[in-house]
Amino acid sequence: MLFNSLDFAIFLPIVFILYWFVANKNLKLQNFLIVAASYLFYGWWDWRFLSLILFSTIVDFMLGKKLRSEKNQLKRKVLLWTSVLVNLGFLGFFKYYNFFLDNFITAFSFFGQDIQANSLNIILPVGISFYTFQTLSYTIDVYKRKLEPTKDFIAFSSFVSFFPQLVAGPIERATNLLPQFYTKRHFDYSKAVDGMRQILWGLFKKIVIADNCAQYANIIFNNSSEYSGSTLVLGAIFFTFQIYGDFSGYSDIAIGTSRLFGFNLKQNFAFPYFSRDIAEFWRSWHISLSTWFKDYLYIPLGGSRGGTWNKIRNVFIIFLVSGFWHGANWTFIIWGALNALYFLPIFLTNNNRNNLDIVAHNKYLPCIKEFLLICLTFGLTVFAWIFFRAENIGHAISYIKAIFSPSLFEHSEIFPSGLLLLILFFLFIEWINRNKQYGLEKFSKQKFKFLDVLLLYIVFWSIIIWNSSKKVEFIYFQF
Amino acid sequence: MKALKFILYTSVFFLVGELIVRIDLEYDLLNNSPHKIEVKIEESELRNKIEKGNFIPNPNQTRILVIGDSYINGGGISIEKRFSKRLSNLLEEEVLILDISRPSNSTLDNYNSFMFYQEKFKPQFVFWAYNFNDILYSIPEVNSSKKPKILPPKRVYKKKIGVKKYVSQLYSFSELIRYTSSNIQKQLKFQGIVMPVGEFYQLTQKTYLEKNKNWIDTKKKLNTVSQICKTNQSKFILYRMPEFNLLNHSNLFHSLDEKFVNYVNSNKNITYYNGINDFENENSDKFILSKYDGHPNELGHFRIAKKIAKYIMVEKTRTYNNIHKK
Repeated sequence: MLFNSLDFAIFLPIVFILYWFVANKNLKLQNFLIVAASYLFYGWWDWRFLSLILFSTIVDFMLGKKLRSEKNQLKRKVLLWTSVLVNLGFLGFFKYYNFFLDNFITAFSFFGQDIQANSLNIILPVGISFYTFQTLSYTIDVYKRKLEPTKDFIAFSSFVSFFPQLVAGPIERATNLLPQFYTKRHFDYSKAVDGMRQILWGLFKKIVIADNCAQYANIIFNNSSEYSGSTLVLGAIFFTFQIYGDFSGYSDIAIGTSRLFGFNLKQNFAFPYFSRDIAEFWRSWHISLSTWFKDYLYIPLGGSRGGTWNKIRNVFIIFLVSGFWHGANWTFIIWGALNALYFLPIFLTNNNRNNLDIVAHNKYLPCIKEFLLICLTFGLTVFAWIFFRAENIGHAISYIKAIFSPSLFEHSEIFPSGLLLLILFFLFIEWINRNKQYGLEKFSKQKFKFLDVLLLYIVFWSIIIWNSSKKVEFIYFQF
Repeated sequence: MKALKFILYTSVFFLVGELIVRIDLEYDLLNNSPHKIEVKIEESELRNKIEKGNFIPNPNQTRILVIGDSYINGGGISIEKRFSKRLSNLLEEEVLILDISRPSNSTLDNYNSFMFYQEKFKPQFVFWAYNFNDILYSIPEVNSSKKPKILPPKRVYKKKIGVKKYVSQLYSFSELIRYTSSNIQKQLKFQGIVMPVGEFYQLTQKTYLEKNKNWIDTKKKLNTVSQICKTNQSKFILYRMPEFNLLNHSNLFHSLDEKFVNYVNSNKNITYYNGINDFENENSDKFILSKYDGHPNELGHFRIAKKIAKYIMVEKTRTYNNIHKK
């Protein structure tokens, strides 16, 4: 079920009413309702893959309980690796099987050996990369004794399949989300209103910004050989806003919907396009995934400890794996490698934690230096996104070559001034609220109340009027 | 005070909406009006030749005349991928296709085009793509020698006052209400629900009635065309063009189709081809340019062309066999 569909517009109020008016007196019933609603939400797409979620849930629930009672460290390790292998096994098969097979065949044929192997017609289960990581975090935390394993199967199922964030995150940690299923939730009006605002902002990002940018980005990327360098630059910028609006929009809707049901999810995007360096960008882009990799991969590898080569190796591993997580294509790996290259110089010179504060804090505008740094970081990001969006490496290279040609200085064949104005409006709203959790969060000062209401109205009507006539799925569903 | 505040905020809410709709209507900021399908009309050498009277039909050639509106003309898609080009490529032997379809053509326009070109082009096949809204046109008035009827004196009605008048005034003023209501109708239509108001409802439920002047006139024109085709020994294929964004909601056209089929069954000179059958159980998303618009995309054109090419081949073989039997 898509968040921006009529199905969801009917589904959400029904679940909301049942949750707060029918099941409100019984915590178990509320959790059971969440599981049922989540399975319906997921099964709407393809009910056959519900078995995968159920299997993962049962395996990790059982292993969690065993991990608690088991004292033998070796046996505990075996239990942990069972969970890792089961979860990553599913992920590997559904997401990477054909990729590895094709690459093996290519590699062997390079050495003159022809291998006959048929690739399988595998459907990638929506959200598998997200819920796999979420359940893995549970087993790892229980293994590390950071978390008490749950005895409540329904609560655990709710945690694994929680519908707002099931298919495209944020990837929640068991330490944050699971305990919320144990405690009684009370309806909080102001929290619900705030949730609605965040949903509205998410819809604006997705429907008005991302879907409209997608139309142009698709035209330009799909016919890149026919356009001048200046148009290709615009295409890359449109994709930059498409992916941000699409993914952070989904996260906003997910977090807002969770708030309607009394849950608090962690912030997943913190205005990444205002970053002054690439380290700041990665602290504010897809935070739930970056921190997951940091805690469960980077730190176990040694993190920033050890010699320079160890540091370089660890940085490359984390960025390459992060790229590969996005999809079975070399373009994602190159995208990850490119980000590692951006990150390394500031990391090795210990400048990666220079910009921990909010940009231009307590000021209306950034200073010139900050502005230039923001532009530079944005430019580097746009460049990297070309690899992310391109069909293959060849396409990305020809796209970049065409950008750096004399046609870069020609007039752009496509110049949707209306869309560019909307993007500027969007950036303006994000800028004035950059110290908050999301762009449309309520102004704290009472004197801005009318302005706040006006903004809400503009956003609401923009969604109604400026929605794209083309149905565009959320990009991150394919990951 | 609270009531005043409520009124103020509600008014601002609608004013903001009104303003944004008006900005959009004026500047079309995102250039994506749902009904906007780009139409390019191809320059045709053949058409020019026929219009100038320089065309001499080759007896060994199969000539096909294509008639219709933007749906069959190929609004929104490249010329090479349009129906007539596809059909010409699919029919391997030598065929000559004269595509006189034009965007916004009604039955009256199609009829006039047919009358003009058929005489000079002498087609063996007339392919008429009929769109359910082709029926909307104003029937030309015919001078009558009859004395004008004396009408009874107009009754003077009291001026409407109250809510009804206020609502109608508001409707005529507010672009927002017009925009919202038409969009709600579109969204509902896409879900297979039609409100008993508006043009679509009128067209599908009220226009194809026996007493409707346009339907009577349409039938007359189709009868004339079929008669001419019979005289010229050409095959008249009346193709029912599907509304592609509503492929999954054929029930919306049930009443209209029933009337249409009743009519074509009564006229043996018409070969009726229901295009909807070729897209049965298909997802409309595959064949549309935009979900709010019924124009077929490239794939839709290709599918129609494939089916019609097959149909024409069968017809030609049958005609050939009949001649040889005799």
